[in-house]
Amino acid sequence: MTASSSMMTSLGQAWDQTGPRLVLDWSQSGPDWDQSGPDWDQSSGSLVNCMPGVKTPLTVDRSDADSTRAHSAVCRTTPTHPGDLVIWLRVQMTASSRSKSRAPRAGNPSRVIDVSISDQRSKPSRVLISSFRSRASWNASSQRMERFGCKTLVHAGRRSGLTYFPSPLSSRWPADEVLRSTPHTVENPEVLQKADRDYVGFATLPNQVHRKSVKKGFDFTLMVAGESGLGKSTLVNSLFLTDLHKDRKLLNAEERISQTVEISSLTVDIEEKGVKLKLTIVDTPGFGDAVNNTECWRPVTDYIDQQYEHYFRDESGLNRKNIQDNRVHCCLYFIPPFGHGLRPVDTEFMKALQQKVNVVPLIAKADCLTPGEVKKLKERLREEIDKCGIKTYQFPDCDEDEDEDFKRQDKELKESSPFAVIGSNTVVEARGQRVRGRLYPWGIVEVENPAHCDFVKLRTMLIRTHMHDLKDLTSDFHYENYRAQCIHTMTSKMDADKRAESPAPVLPLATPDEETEKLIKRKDDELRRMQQMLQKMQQQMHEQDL
Amino acid sequence: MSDVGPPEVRPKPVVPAKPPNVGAPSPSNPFPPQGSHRSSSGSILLGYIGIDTIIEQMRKKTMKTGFDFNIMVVGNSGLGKSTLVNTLFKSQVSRRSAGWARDDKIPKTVEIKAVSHVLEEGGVKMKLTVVDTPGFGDLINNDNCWEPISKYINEQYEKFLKEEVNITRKKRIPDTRVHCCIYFITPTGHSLRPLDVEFMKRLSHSVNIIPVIAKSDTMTIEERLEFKQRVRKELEMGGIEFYPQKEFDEDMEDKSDNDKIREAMPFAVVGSDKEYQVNGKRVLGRRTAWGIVEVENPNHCEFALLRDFLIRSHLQDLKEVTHNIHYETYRAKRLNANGGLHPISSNDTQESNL
Repeated sequence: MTASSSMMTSLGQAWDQTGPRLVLDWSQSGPDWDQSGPDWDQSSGSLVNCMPGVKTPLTVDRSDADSTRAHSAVCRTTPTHPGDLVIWLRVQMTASSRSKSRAPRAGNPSRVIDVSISDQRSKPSRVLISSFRSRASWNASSQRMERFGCKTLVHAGRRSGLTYFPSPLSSRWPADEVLRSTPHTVENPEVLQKADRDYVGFATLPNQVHRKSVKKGFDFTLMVAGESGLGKSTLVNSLFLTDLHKDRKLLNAEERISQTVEISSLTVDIEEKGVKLKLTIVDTPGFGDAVNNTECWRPVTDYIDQQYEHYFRDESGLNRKNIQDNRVHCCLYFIPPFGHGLRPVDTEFMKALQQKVNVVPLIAKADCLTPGEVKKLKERLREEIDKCGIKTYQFPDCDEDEDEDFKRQDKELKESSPFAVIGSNTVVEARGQRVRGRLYPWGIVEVENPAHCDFVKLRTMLIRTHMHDLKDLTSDFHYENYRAQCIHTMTSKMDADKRAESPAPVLPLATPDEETEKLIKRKDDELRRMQQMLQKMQQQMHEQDL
Repeated sequence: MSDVGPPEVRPKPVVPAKPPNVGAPSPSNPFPPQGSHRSSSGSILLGYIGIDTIIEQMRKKTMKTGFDFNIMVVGNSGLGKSTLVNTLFKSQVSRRSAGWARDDKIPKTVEIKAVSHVLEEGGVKMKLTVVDTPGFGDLINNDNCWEPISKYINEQYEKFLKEEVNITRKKRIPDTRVHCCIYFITPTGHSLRPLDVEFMKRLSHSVNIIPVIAKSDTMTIEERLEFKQRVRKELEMGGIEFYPQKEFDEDMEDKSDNDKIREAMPFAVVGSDKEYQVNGKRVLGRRTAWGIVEVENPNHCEFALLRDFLIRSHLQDLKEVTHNIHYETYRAKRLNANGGLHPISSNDTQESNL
């Protein structure tokens, strides 16, 4: 069939660098399955015998061991964007997975599936997973795709091997309702050809950016500040699952009496699923430990300014290819849980740093508080932070067309700030599983249990959702502030200098130093003496003449 | 007459020396003679005298007059000082519960606030005074934040001294001297903070200091042991003598008892005034999402040890050490400093020569 062959050609073309867009919809109540029809040809990496508009079973390799098994899929082309594949994956649960009760339940929005389409390239160019509950739908009036849950990926977690990037055109996909209602458009090859001509292909820009950045790697600088003994190092180790501080020497009180606040920074390179991250942790040992803690935050602010200055200088330099970005992207400030709210040293520190860096306050060692106490303390802290006018890092609002669940999660995140965290890197046995936690005689605290502490929320926020936002804010806001200030002081100084140098009437040069003055005086004296001698000689000559 | 009994260190009532040739037991003695008794100096008692009933007499006296006990709590705000005192004495005796509104603002200097209550148990009346020190260690600059506390303690000694050197003394001088100072250590898990060391160094010679680790439900058992060891080492290195002081152990029995206690100090405590049901019993505790911390369970924390030590075995000893040693040190210093003469204070109209 010519129709199908032309279809095939366009499909074949589609599977190239620019690539199709695949939508995997996990709804179990999918369209009816049609057993006949086209098939996925592994060798050529393309669909064969594909009848447009016909649902086709398609086997998709799944590579995640403990998630539900994707059994078959349906491919469907959309009329306006040939080359796009809409794939519904029928979820078939194996016996083992069923017993683990990992069924996608209503209310369990983001199903995390690690999927790789077996085609010539090991990674799909773009894969978007639609969540179970929110099926994407086409809003004919606004001509937009709605409730397209592609961003639920952000909560997907480590198991998701999918690379994610926003789709600028996702809102313009028609849903299958439209397809069903207008099947004729699909079968019309001419329409297809025309649509092909309209398709420019810059929608794949995000892919390219993404590929480039993955190759380059990311860097992130995190500063942890707070009194010693609040579990800062443990938390950092738990967050990044490394042991950054293997041989730490703990000073005792005598040694610490004379200690000043120092800044120590540690850099590690960690890699996960091909994405490299150069992580720098800046620690502030000695902060708030001494008896007299006046201005103990001065070394911290100086360090931050130093990094900005360094970057500023690099940026204004001639060779800007390899600028080292050591600017502090985020500062986690640990508030002790023992107090009744903010202490004077806390307010002063946060006030000093709010204009320079993103400050995220945390309640440390939250396992000594009961849930009621945690709530009370959080409220008090929020109140006091507002009252003192401290601007901590605010989570950006999510877009309007986001998933309901995403919005809810975002709201929860905002309401539970400051996070009450517990850190631990030791593994204990709890409820039959091995989890990271702390073993007490009265129970086991699980670090990753959201009912126990906000560690998961912090990790999500810091690493999985807002890392880039933190970096953006640092470079767009805080750094620009610093830069503007710097330039302002430089120009005002230059103006002041310029005014001194301009040919102002009879104003001598600004105070010459003492030596030149002495010299001038000496020369003046000599001149006078010589003048006097000259006068005398003239007189003598005059007398002689007479 | 032979000298009976050990040299007088404690203010025991003086028992007249018994003549060595006592006769048959007196007929008014209700207790049958128990053969010959040996007193500690070696003289043989040929019958029952009834000296040991002095204990009973003292008890009756004490019950009638009652006694007073002054305890001071020092530590950063929020470490559970008030709660611990309430838990210790099983009643609402702290400053918070006495009507003062819970101070939300951190005071600019260390204040001293004392609250008194009269507790009664088993017919014994105790006037308990809890001295609180809000503002300690909470400021940015905590230099000399121990001075108001030191001043307060010395003022109480001064008051007592003035009463004592009066010509007409009261029968029972009201005792406001601080008998015990509980110092709350922040459970950082690492070691003592410089402020802790400074405070304890300066005050361990004028008052009995009992260091406790506050809010110890923040540490696991291993962490707690490590922390305690480190703290003890630091206290030793700093030459800080906390109560029970080694130098005041009187005999081997005392020494061995106190050694055991010193090994276990500083006690890691958790305080709570709420009750929960655990295994059918109502216990004081803290309920968290992962379990209930029982305050009086020795496996969970050492509150029971502290309570027994403080109240059930060493309460009287605390008072005695304060009176005989700390107060005497202060008194000697004061009298020496003034050439032996008692200074006339501004509102003192009497003159007294010493």
